[in-house]
Amino acid sequence: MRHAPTTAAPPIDAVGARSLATRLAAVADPVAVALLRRLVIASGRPVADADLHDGVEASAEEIDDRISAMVRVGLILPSPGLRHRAAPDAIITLATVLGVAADTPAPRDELPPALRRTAELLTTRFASIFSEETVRRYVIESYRLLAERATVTAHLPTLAGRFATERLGALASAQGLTLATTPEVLFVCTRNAARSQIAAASLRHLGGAGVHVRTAGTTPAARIDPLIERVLTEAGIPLPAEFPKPLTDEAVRAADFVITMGCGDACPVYPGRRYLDWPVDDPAGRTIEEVRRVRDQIIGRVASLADELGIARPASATR
Amino acid sequence: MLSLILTSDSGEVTIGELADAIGFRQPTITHHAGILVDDGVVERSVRGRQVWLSIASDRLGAVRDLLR
Repeated sequence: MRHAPTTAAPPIDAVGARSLATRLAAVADPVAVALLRRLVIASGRPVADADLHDGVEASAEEIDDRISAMVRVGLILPSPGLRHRAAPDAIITLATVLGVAADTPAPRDELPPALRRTAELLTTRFASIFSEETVRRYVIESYRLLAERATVTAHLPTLAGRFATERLGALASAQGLTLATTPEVLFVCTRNAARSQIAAASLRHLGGAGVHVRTAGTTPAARIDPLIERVLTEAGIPLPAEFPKPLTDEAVRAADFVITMGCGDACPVYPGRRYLDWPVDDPAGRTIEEVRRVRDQIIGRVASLADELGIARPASATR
Repeated sequence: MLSLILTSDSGEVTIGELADAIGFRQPTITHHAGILVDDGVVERSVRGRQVWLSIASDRLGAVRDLLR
């Protein structure tokens, strides 16, 4: 029986075959199949380990063993609170094999608004490497690939974003480009009106185009404290057109470094990002001397962060 | 092997072509092809002296996903 060629892509190479075989070997076992099937049905939402143990005919040790094997090859990912979730890649490649792909593909023309936001965030993140069109194409394609297979569609935009990031990252390294050139830093404080704004302004000033800076607050204020602009101007740091905004899941996902100031627990934690907590007082309602002290404290910390990131110093910071 | 069959122009290849592409001898390829045929992933058809292998149509989606 003949089939029309499905793709112009070349056959898999030896390295690709080996890595795929390693991944599949981690699933080639009844217990592993049962576990992964549950996680794929959950469409990338985290499932508590305790729930995974329920109804799978195997000892707890055996289950933990299969889970760690699949984590090692990247098919499933650990989530906070003793939970695990299926990697987007696992859903794409294994949903049909595990028999959980939806029979009727999701409607192709309807793209959720959240996807546009995801594409925007990724465009900024990959600005130095890929054009906006490339990023958007990858995001939409990732979304469609997932939508055809997922049984639950509520978390698909986020999942598609994660998957697109992985694919763009892989594409970049395949082209010999590294992503490390433009680190993404997110400053989070409670009101997004003072501390995170000082930190963001000074890091932008120091790093220029060498760094992407974002800010957010767990309970954003109505506007930036007027004193902040004054003390920043004193230090020769321009305050860009910023406004207090809430902390979103995507902002955290897009960041390489997440720096929290006084909001510790409210910030979601994802693997693969570096989290730093700076114990800096909220200057709200303080005198200008105290605000200056907070400013200098933050500028000092930002300077060492910039050093650590290997970002150019003021000479090249033209922005 | 699956990847070579899937990406071939006509959707089917001979054992000999696979052996050349993968760099193993024909008996090795025949052995592994046999396992895939037994499992129903690959179909074989004998035409003259040559054995042609193709992906079973009901497994095509799964194989394509797997190699994506």
